[in-house]
Amino acid sequence: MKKYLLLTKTLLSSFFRKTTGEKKSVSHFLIVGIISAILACLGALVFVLYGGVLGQLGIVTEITALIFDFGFIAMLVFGTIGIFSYIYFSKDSEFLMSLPVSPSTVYLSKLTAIYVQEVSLTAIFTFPSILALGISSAQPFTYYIMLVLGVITVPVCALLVSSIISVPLVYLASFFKKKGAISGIILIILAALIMTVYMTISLSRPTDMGAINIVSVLQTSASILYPFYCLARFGALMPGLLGAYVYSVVLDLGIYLATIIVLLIATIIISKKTYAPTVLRQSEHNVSRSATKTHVSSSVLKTLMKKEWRELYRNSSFAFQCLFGVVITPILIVVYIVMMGDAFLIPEMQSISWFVCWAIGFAMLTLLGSSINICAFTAVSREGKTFVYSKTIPVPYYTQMLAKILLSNIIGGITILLSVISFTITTIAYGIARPFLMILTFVFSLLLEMTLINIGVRRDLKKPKLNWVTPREAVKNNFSSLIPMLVGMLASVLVLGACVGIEVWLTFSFGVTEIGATVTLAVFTALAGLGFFLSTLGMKASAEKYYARLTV
Amino acid sequence: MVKIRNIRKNYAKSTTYAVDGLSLDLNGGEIFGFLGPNGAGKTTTIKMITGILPFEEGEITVCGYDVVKESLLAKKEIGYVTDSGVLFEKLTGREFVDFMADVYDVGEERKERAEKLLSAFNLTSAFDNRIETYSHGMKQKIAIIGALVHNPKVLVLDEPMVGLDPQSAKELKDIMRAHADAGNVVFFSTHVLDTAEKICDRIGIIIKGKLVMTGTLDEIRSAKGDGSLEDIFIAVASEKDKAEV
Repeated sequence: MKKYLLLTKTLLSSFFRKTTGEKKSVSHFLIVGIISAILACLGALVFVLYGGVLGQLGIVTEITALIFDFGFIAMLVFGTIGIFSYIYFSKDSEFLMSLPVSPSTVYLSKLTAIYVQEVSLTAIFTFPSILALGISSAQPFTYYIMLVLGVITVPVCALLVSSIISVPLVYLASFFKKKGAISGIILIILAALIMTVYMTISLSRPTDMGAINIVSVLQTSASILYPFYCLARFGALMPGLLGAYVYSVVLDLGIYLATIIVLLIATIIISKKTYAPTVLRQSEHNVSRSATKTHVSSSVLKTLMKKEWRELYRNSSFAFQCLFGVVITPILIVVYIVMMGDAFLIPEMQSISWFVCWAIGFAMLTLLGSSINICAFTAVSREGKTFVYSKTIPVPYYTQMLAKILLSNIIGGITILLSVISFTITTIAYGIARPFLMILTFVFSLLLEMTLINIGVRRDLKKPKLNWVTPREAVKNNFSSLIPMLVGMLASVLVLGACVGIEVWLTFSFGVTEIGATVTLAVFTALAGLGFFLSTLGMKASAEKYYARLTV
Repeated sequence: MVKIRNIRKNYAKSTTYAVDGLSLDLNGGEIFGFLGPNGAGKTTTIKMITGILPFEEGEITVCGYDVVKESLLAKKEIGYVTDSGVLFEKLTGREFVDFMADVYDVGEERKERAEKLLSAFNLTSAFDNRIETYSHGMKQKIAIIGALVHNPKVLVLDEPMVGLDPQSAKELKDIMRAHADAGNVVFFSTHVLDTAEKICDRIGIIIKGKLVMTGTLDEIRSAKGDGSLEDIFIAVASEKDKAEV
């Protein structure tokens, strides 16, 4: 226990301390503060306004469970990335294995460090929302006990599940020469699978139900991750499995706590058996079959792009952070539109269903397409201490930056293209496609993405995080990676707000329909084009200057 | 103090052994220099001795403890300095040394030992600065202090001279000598043959995973002629290459 605490303290100190000489500007804290506040308030506001109604409908338990589910899924995805990067593919593994500390102690210390690093992510979403729901629907005192217990322990459950599922995945990756690349692919598939499966199951309902039965759908969704449903039932003092009220509530709490204990025991057993051999296996290098390969010459720009790409996809943490959007954005656009699919078929909705459908897809595309892809915002940081070599090669700094920009553009462009294709196909399936609007959506999103990439690379060049040990630190402590999320949010709110306003104004003032959104988007597309132009000029003007003053 | 018996190690999918049938005894009071060209198996051997890397065949004991079956007990007897330096760079030198002392269950005697080593390495003034502000040589020194704070019976160093200025290299050699003279084993890998020639009590040459020669410098000279260690090393390496062909 002493060594567990010692190691955990050291790992956390290493992670949270600022780099010497590094100064966080006010804008850093402002960005983090604004984003955190927006995320926290968005959920809370909904429940402040509608908590009473939800209470009257008798679905507070289900909503609470679903909020915990959301926190669980988020932690499951990010926890698994953390486990891959921080536990199995970390540079300090060999050093820690040489110490007289048992491998399971090292494992649990690292797991605790990941928990402390990630718990704020889920707490920002879950705590304010559940608190607001509890107050506005006048829940009993047990609800607040449940709130604290859940906010602390739901991420623990997620991390324990992540640690269990990571074992076979890392073991599988260790058989390949390009372990990092394979791990990245596995993580992307796993995360997309978790999200898609969860959403598909939670949306499924009996076909003979007829009209949308929200309560029924919520109950189905909430009971998928049953222990959290039990926790929510305990908090709201709702009867569950047993007829006797008190016994039922106690049983629910017991089921939840037992789940954590079982997961913890399973993790300890598994880590004792598998951690050391699995992590040591990562030290082994599979033999390259390079004899069969030939030399390939490329232009300087192309070869720099190839190097960028290889370093990105061969590192599981970077691959996930930069490529996950390519997979998940098209999937989530389709899933969200299908979620609303029943509403599009209601006769009263038909006149505006094209707009609602487009707005959902557009918001998802702007938010996810931009915010998930942090390729540009970590373009320089990803190089870490090897950055110094880029200053020794006889290639202009701007050309080196251009390689990073172009690679980010390719990844961003593929994300947007795939997303718009899936978006368009879905709207065609519902018979509410608006081709010109879709083309504009594509162009706008692309220009916004390209602008963000220019800003991102420039920003990262100005203040990169080069002193990292685990690749995760390059992304995790890099506050500039939050900028695309903020811009994505603002862009979707601005564009959709303006589109709704203009559409309503044209309809009611002139009787002209279905033009407002298109015209508004065209204007915003022009603005995005201007943004791209200016950001390119900014990049050209400052690349050499920023690059020249960087040192490791 | 360290017994290595016929260890073999092959990496995944490789048809050849990275270390092949290596046997060696390291005795208290000696500095053993482990020489070999790049990719010969030096670091692999060191990682197996320190319990970092598993191996397919053979046995390694450190102070009587099997590194596989009694790994924690064996590791307690070892001080290890990697070739990748200190990884907790956000810690100060003092915090790092305290961490190492805590891990190895060193009590109050850590203060005296650390002060002695800091003084020997001329690092006292930087002890409370973050390691990330240290130069490469200073990082190497603090890693060595961390490895020595529990006064290990076996000190293992992977390429310890890399990046050290002549003054620091001299300080390190003195510390290695003093540690060995106190009855401990110092085992280190190096490419710097001049260093090996000057400070090693015994030398081992590993080539393509096989330990092709061990002994004192005089024993090696009497077996291979009266040249410098560099001449002997090159001759042994080329002999091995010819034999392979």
